[in-house]
Amino acid sequence: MKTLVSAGVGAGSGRRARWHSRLRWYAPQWRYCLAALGPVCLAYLVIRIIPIFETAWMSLHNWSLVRPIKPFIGLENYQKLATDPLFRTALVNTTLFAVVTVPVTLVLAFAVAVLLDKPMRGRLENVYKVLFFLPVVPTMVPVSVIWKWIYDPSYGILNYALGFLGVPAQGWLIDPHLAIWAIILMTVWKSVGYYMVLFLVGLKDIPVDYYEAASIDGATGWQRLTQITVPLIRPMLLFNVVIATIFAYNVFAQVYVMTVGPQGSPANPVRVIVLDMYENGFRYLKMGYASAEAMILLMIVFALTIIEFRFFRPKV
Amino acid sequence: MKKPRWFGTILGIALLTALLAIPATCLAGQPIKLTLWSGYPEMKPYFEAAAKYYNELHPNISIEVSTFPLRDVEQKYAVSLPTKSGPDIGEMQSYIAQIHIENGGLLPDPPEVNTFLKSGVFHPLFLSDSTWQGKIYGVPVLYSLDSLLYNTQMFKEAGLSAPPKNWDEMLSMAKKLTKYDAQGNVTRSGLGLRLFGAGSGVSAKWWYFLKSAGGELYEECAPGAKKYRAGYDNEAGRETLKMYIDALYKLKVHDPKLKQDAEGFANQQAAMFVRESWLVGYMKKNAPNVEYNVAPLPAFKKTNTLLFWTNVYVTSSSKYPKEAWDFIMFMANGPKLKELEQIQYDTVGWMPPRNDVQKRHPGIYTQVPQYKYFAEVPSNYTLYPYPRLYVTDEALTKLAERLVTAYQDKSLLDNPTGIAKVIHDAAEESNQILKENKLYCGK
Amino acid sequence: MRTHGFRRFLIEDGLRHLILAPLAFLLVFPIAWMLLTSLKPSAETILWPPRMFPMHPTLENFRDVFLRWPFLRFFLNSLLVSGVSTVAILLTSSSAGYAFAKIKSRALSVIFFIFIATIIVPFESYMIPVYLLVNRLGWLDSYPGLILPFIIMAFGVFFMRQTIQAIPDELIQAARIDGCSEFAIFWRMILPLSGGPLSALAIYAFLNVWGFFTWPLIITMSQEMYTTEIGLALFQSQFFIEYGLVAAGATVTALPLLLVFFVFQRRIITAVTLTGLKGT
Repeated sequence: MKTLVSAGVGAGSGRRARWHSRLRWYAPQWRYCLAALGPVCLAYLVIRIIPIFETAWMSLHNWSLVRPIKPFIGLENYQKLATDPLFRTALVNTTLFAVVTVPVTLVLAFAVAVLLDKPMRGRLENVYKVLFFLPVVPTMVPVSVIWKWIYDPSYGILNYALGFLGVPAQGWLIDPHLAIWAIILMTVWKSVGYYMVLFLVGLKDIPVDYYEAASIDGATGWQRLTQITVPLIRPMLLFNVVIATIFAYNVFAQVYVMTVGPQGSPANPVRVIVLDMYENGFRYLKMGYASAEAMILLMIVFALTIIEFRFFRPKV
Repeated sequence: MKKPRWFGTILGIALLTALLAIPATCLAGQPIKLTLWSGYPEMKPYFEAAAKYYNELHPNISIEVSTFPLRDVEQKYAVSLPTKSGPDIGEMQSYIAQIHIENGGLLPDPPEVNTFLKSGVFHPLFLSDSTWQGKIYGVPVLYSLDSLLYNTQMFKEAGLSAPPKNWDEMLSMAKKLTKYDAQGNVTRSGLGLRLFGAGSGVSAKWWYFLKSAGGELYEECAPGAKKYRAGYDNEAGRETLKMYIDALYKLKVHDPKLKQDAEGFANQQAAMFVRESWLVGYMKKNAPNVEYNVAPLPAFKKTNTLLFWTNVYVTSSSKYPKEAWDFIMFMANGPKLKELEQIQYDTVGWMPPRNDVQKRHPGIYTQVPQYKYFAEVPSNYTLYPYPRLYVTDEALTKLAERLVTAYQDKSLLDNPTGIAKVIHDAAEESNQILKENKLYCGK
Repeated sequence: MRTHGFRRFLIEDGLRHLILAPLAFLLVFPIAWMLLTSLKPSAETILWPPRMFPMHPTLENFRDVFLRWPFLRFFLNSLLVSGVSTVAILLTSSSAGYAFAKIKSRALSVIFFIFIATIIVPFESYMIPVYLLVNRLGWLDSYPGLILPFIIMAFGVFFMRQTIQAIPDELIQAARIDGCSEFAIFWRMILPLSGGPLSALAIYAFLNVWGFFTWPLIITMSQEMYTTEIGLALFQSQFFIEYGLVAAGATVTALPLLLVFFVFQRRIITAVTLTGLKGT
């Protein structure tokens, strides 16, 4: 039996004091905590917690990388953001993007999951699952590159295919009314498979007896879906909605790929918050200003997450 | 599941090695490695050849050349030069360099370089625009005028014998050169205009036309006052925007769905457009069968064009400034000058900046006639540089965003009030940028 | 009998195939199109109307991708960064997860809650100070700089805690009574028992770090430090007019992951499910 480490001596941190009052066999644990958990906590402090507070701090200053003096200006950055047309555009675009992408992706993923939940002849449902998951595998940049090519106004295959339906050639990434939808479509395409897999997991958890009982009671397929499946999938739905929202608000890579370079499409129709932050912070070096944007992004995501928890909380 | 454990050890060792490698290279000692950054990827063959030749003369000095897209290198300079973590040598335009000059990120030229610069081998504008508070910064490494490229084949077909000399001719010829499909959509643009893409490029291209119309981005309020205001909230600004709107919606000589800029010209989707001499290298590589020639920028109220060039600078991040300057002088005035200039003419497209090139390359303008009007213009033309304020980049980028939106606004056609408002709002923003940086004069 | 079976097929499967098959085609086609475009010589990429299959398939685009830019180097960079990060994430997540799962303490609960709260905070919101920190350390444009933000993953901690909680307390109590140190318990008992979840987390973390874009974009300065994501993004902005070449670049970037997926399908999908399970 390991001896009680002389925990009583020394600066009494809450942890130690508490354990000191516990039974002896818990004592060696604080050594583990210090040695194994300690560095992890340190890492969190250094690369997560402190930076978050630093961002808040910087947002209250006129913080420019190229100027030595960084005066405190209170909420001035936020005031400027409120009247900044570029930031307002970014806010609107990002919100539109999130509001469309999240429901569309999840509804589609759910529908596909429901269709694939029951086995098919020849176990074909597994083939479908793999095919649907395929777009999830490559990373966002190659996907953006290939969709940029598909959307090409002169040589792209989408315009060609739509030509058969009598639709004239469009500038999918150029027309300010179409550009954001083009990116939404591409993002939905890429993410559907991921949420499908998660929904399938949730569906499997629902006991078959519920459905059988409902069938005996004369419920139709649709009723079974809405009365049993949807309510019982709430935990998975909440999880999916939260992570989908976070991803949606942080959209950046695909927008960057589409708009970078002399042949990039116009940035404004697809200006999103992170793009604006990147430009302000790393192009004009107004890091205080960009930090204020970051704080707003953070607060929006935070608020939405709490709302989603409220709304989708599984009613037990 | 043993996999995580030894797998982890091996990668842990890899991490350790990587961490150790950093100080190890610092202790390397004798061999000197200089880093050079450029925002002009087409210049890579030039810099790499120069590095190779230099290394033959100085085996212990190697130069690592990195090229980036222009927007990205400007951003990298912005974050690295103030913190002394930048390259030894950086190539950039004067207005990008300005903020780094003012913040001490770039070093002024040593005396022997100054002597060389003042020896008369460069156009006086290169020198005057590289001087700040009495000191000269950087050495020119490439240049070009902005001129009109036109597809000679398309001109012949349309029965046009000579390129346009002014805006009226430019627009009427563009109309003749445009091709349409059955629905009236433009399938071949008569005048390629830069409508979007890559930040400030859009506004820079608009600005050349603005200058021809007599306007300016930022004008000094009084000579030597060092205070400025936007110089386009006037007829010049309105007429330039009107020209674009008319070209797009009245004459319909261009369409944003077509490939634009260099890509459009190379794909024969445009009959004319304005750019610099790097197109010569680009066309040679990507569209060698396209027949084209170059003419001076069409004039309007003023007859002028942009003198574009870049300098190479030694930065204050450099641990070996002496060797860096030596390398720069090697490129500008060394034993391999002729070979390096040849690379620029053959491959790069950007032209060597010295005004005595014809001594080493006689007949270059006969061999490659397209270079002629990128290199010189008729004597009645004035040459001007970019406005050398360090806020120019932010101003041009923000103006670009407004222009891109304006170009897509059909309601601006025959709408002088609308155009005036767009111009006025944009100028307000440009002035606001000046105010934030304490460069605005008066109210 | 047969008709009966066929009717069943129609009702049960047929309708589903009718809906799912076109969708599946739409999901797979862009990837196939990328591959096909990369095999076409430049002249064929701009044909109108476009042809599906290359008339003269060629590998020269792939050759050019590696010749013009160091894509192999990009791949190795991504491999190194993702590999080291994944190992770090596994270590930190499991050691922290064990502490939170099996050591009872109010203070630890608070700390755990703080960890979890950071899941919601998007990295992009606080990357500026991290950038400045890395700059002060002199780790700009270096592997340590690329890896630093990814040595921990809040979700990983959460995931491992949930997993380890499922390990019966009695086993651990018994080991403690036997005199084992917590380290030994962790290293010799918990880790081996968590093999499945650990490999799931490894896959999840690896894919996440591999695909991360914003951080490498601001941290890397020289071309030789680019990851595949950054390399391709900049490559396509420069060589945009060579459509076959750019498609080949995209293929080369996406292919390793696609190949891994085809070989390890089941494992990867299981990994995703497992992480999802614990999340709810």
